Amino acid sequence: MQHFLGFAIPGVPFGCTYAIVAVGLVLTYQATGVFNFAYGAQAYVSAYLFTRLVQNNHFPVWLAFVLSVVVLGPVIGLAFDRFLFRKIATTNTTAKLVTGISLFVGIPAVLSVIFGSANQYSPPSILFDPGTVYLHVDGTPVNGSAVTAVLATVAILVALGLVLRFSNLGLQMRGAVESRRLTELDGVNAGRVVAVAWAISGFLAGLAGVLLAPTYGELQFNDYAALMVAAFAAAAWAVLRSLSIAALAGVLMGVATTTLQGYLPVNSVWSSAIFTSFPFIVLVAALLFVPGLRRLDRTKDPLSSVDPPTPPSVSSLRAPQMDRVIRILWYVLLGGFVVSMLTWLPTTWENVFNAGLVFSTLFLSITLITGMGGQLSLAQATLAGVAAFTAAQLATHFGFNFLVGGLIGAVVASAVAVILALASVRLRGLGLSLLTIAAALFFDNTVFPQALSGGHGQSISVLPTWVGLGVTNPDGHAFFVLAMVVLLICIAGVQLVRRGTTGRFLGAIRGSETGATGLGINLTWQHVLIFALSGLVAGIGGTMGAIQQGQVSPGLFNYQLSLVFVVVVVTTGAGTVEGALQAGFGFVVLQQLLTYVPARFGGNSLVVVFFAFGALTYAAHPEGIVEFQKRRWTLRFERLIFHTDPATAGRIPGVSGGPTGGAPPVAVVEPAVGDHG
Amino acid sequence: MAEPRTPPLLQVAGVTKIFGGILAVGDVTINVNRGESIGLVGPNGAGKTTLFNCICGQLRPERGTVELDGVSLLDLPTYKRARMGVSRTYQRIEVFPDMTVREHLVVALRARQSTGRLWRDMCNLSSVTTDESGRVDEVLELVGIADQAEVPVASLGLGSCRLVELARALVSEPVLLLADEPSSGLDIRETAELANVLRTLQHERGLALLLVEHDLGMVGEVVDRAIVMNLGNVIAEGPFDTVMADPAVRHAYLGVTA
Ligand SMILES: Nc1ncnc2c1ncn2[C@@H]1O[C@H](COP(=O)(O)OP(=O)(O)O)[C@@H](O)[C@H]1O
Ligand SMILES: [Mg+2]
Repeated sequence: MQHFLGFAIPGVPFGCTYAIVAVGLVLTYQATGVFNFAYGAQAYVSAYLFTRLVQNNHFPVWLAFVLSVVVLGPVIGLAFDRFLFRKIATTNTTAKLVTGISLFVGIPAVLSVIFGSANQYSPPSILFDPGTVYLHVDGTPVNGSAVTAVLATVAILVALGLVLRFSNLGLQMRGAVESRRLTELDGVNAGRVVAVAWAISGFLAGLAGVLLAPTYGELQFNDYAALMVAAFAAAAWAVLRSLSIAALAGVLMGVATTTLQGYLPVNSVWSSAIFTSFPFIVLVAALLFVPGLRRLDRTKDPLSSVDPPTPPSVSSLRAPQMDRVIRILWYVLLGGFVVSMLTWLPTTWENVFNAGLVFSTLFLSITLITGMGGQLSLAQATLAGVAAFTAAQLATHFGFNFLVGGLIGAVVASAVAVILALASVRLRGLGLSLLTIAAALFFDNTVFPQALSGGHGQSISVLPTWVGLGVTNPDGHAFFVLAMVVLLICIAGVQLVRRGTTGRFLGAIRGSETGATGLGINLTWQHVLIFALSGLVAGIGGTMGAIQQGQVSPGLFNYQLSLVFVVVVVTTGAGTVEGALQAGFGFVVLQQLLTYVPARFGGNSLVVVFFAFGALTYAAHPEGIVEFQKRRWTLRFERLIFHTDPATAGRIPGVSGGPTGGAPPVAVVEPAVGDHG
Repeated sequence: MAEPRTPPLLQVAGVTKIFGGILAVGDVTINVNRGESIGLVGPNGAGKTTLFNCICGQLRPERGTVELDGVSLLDLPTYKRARMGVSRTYQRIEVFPDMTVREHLVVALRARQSTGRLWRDMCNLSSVTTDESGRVDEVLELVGIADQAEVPVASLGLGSCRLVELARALVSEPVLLLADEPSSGLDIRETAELANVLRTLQHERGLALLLVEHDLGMVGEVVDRAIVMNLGNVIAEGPFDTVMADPAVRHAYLGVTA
């Protein structure tokens, strides 16, 4: 028994923070219909500021707590509501998720741009000293951070429970998520209710952040990402509905994690990986076995049937002449690029563009899964890693050529993607994103380190003998030629799928799943198919990336990169091949340009911030803000050069500056309806 | 109406669907013969759409059987039922906003024939054939939206979207069409046009039709037989005019529309 308690009690503080975060997630979801992906980042900001104020500015702990949790927490929540989520309340799950993910990726980057990338050490506890043992439970010592966590959690959750039960707020919140409009018809100010919910959840995030901080010696964003996945799991078991179940599940998970860890062999991979893999297992179990989760995305606003059809995303129509001009420009650009790469470009830039080719290939997998499949996969870097590690293992142990191994690896990545697809057949949107990010963390912490553990240290070098063809020779252009050919093949494949029957079916499914199945399209098959293709392309990209970097290491393929990839591609346009190319090259070229800027401006974090801001526009421009601007300018040129009919332009709402610009698209085409009769 | 000699095309027997204690459809039995058109009418909330969902597989009924040509549909997923020739349109429209009208019909054709083969895409064999575009044009012409073929549906009005759904449902040459309030959002002239199309289809192609419609004038013009539902139950069945004269029917309707 003592053994057990000795393992279980250290889990209590973790369990408490899991519980608070899970409750905060459920609360926002219930009140606003938003699953707040940025929640871990909110917690991190408060913890970071709290620690910094105490350690660097020598603020008293209570003042730092008030500033970073009581004030900043709700302010962040309110800002999210006011400037972001309120505007997209009626959009689809994907748009809300992308917004959350951009914040999740962008906020830590903003912090390191502002404060520099130095980490914060030994975060203080808000009440009791973590180093002191205050009491013994059945012989097990309990230290200050555990006492603090328990007291704070119990106090806050009880207070919250009382407020929700004995005020109108709870009822109104439930109403607000069912249908904001219905609630408003009842005379309730739904906007205010939603704002209150955001403020409370912001406070909870901050609190969880500072409670978790002292359990680690060093403040790291990764721990907050792991915290979030654990909270996802707890919230999932509560079907994102019940606050008390969420809290209970959170505490249980914390306790179960350390208990399991205690009974596992010390120093084994599993013992250290349990913190991230246990939440993964719990989350996957919830996604698979809690039936209520499958219906989350399908619950519709009862008043939504009175809506007009969804407004058009920007139509991709352009005049045929313009099409020809653009195609010629692309070929000229391609020719110029190839010639430059082979002749005058300095090695630095050749390397940058080589990386661009690799990223473009990898990003095509996002074009497939997100642009065409309409699903947000947060494990694309992981799939790339699966292929690269497979190739590395095959080369090490069986002497396979790395390119051949990479192809096999891509097939393996595709198989992993298929498993993810099968596990998520009944899930869409939110559930699928959660499943994939959990899988990504699982691979990061368990599988990839395992694949390294053949005495390779931190990475496996890609030996020149593995590849052949002189590809790894830094002075030649062999890698460029290879990467170019691979990219062109992938582009051709993606274009063929896009234009073919598969592309049409996927377009139909994106438009309306009900409509698509009603025509005889097998959703499950299409879902699995696009995952398989996407995994294959990601795997190819991963192998090329490994060759380009000269090594295979977990750091090249971690979950954060997956999130950054999504944010980057969504900014430049997930729907088109051009979008993937812009993303690939934009990503590396910006990084390179920033090396010319003094490091104190944030370096690579600035790139992330840049794209995170871009991705925040996703709800308004699902085709990608870059793509949107491009079409807009194309249209202007088109009118300038070809003097095209403004009626065509009118189909693209909000684009033309003319008198029809602001009018709903219906008004432009509707008169034609009468003509056929 | 004389007893049919051949077995009915669609047999719905004792279908019951309950939503959290609310009886949406209660023990409904309906037979639809080949080439027959039936009007399914009743006030809002009568369970008409829910019955359609049970027939097409979007919902699974708690009790009862649904058979097409003697084959039980209940264990088949929606897409397989569609491939067997059950087409429908939706009360709350389900179009594909990114696509043009023509593309909707191409998708419908290919989905019915299940020719979505990846290797064909990869060999660039998936462009629209002349045979396909011929069939698409024919249906567009029939439904009267040929002039909007290249327009993205996102820029169409509600009425046109309903016609697109109808065309999409028809292009795959179904044996049974379930139309859920196809005329709402259309003006009087368009409704008359639509009634015309439905009649033509029935006469020329032998299509069986189950029509949910609030415009009783239109129903009267199109259907052979009417079934009236209220609160999940069938309250009257028979020739349209007879049914409409039924006091129970008048009561059910007046209770809502008065
Ligand atoms: N998905 C659903 N969940 C709960 N109740 C539903 C659902 N769909 C329909 N209902 C209820 O079932 C009843 C029948 O609805 P419906 O079939 O849409 O009627 P109709 O199409 O005849 O107007 C109504 O009381 C409606 O509220
Ligand atoms: Mg209905």
